[in-house]
Amino acid sequence: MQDTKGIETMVLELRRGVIALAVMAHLREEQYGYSLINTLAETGLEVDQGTLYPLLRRLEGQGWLDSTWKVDGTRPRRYYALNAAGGEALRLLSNEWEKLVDQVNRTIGRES
Amino acid sequence: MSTLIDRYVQEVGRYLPEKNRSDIRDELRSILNDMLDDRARQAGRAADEEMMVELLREYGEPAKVAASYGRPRYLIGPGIYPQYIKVLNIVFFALTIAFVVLFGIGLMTSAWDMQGFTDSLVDTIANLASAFLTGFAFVTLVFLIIERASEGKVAEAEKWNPRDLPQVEDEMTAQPVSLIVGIVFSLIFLYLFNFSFDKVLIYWITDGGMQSMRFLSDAFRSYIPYISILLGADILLSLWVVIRGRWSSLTKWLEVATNLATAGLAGRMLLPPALVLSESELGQQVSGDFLSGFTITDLHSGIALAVRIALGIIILVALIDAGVSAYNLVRRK
Repeated sequence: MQDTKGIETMVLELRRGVIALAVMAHLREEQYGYSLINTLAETGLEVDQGTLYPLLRRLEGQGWLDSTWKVDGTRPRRYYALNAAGGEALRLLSNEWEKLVDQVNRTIGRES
Repeated sequence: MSTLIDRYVQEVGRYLPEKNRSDIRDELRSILNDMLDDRARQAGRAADEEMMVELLREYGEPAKVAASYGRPRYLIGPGIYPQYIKVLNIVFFALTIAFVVLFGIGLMTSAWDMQGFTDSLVDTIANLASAFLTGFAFVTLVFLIIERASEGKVAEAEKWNPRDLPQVEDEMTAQPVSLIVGIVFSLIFLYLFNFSFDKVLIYWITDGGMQSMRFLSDAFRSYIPYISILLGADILLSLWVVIRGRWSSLTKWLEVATNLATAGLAGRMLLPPALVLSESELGQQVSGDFLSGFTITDLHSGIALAVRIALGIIILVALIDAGVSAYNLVRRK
């Protein structure tokens, strides 16, 4: 009898750890908040708005994203994009990610 | 007439700090409108109020949405919580000691009867509870301010020294300090009762200098040999344990035995004959001006009460100690 609730929780924890990385990767192309949710969902990473928008602000506060307001027809939208510092951070984080995947795979006995 | 989304965004902003307020509001408004358009498109009809209501309800309560933009806010955060508990314990402990002392002093100066005693006790407990409440509120307030000021950043951990860690102890490790204190007091009482009994008096200071008064009867005197035996046994046992550094099953059982014997003796002493001098015997020693406001009867019952309380405490402590020791001994087997 599987403890599905317990497994779901842990999977959420795993996902939560990589969301920032995924977001930064997507923002190599300029996007606005709502479109980002859809892009993430398309790649299988469901994030809810309550998590994403505060995250975008924090990343911007960290100096890794730049944001600009653009008016699309009548609708003003805030566009985010990875900047130079963010690009460098993404590169380093991606390296760390690969190392981590490798370590974990070896630990659980799956060859990478 | 503002739309539902405008009102929602406005409300969320109310919970946000001034700094980010308008910025977040604009962004949120833009996002919600996008989401609304999306839903309208999927539903195949124009956006209406019902759609807005559903969207906003799903998006979440304004206060919670606002909270997600900030750091987690604690009243007293995990960084300082342990210290908070420690300080609370110290404060409660200190208050209790203070009140016990005040109660003792109060006993000596207030009415000498059961009613006065119970009144005084109830009063003290009520005041203690009130003091606890005040102390709790004060400590909590102080830590609340600290939490606010430090914004969750934990204070630099003081360099703690692993060598300062206390020794591993179990209930069989001897506590030399308390044992030696016990030995000293036992010796003092042993000497006092056997060689200096006429010095066991109530002393007080008047204008005429220090005055004293006998208060223990001959009946008490007759108990002294038994008291001495128990005191002697206690001294020898404590010495033995101090020297060896540890209790053993044997010494623990011996301690249980002496405690039971002590309780038994104290219990016997509570029964007649009286331990305190009679009223007339007391009255002979005292001049008129000592008793401002009291009568001899008050004095007598007061002293008798104090002696009974002392014996009661001895019995209680001895029984509890014996009980706990015996329980631990039996449990170990």
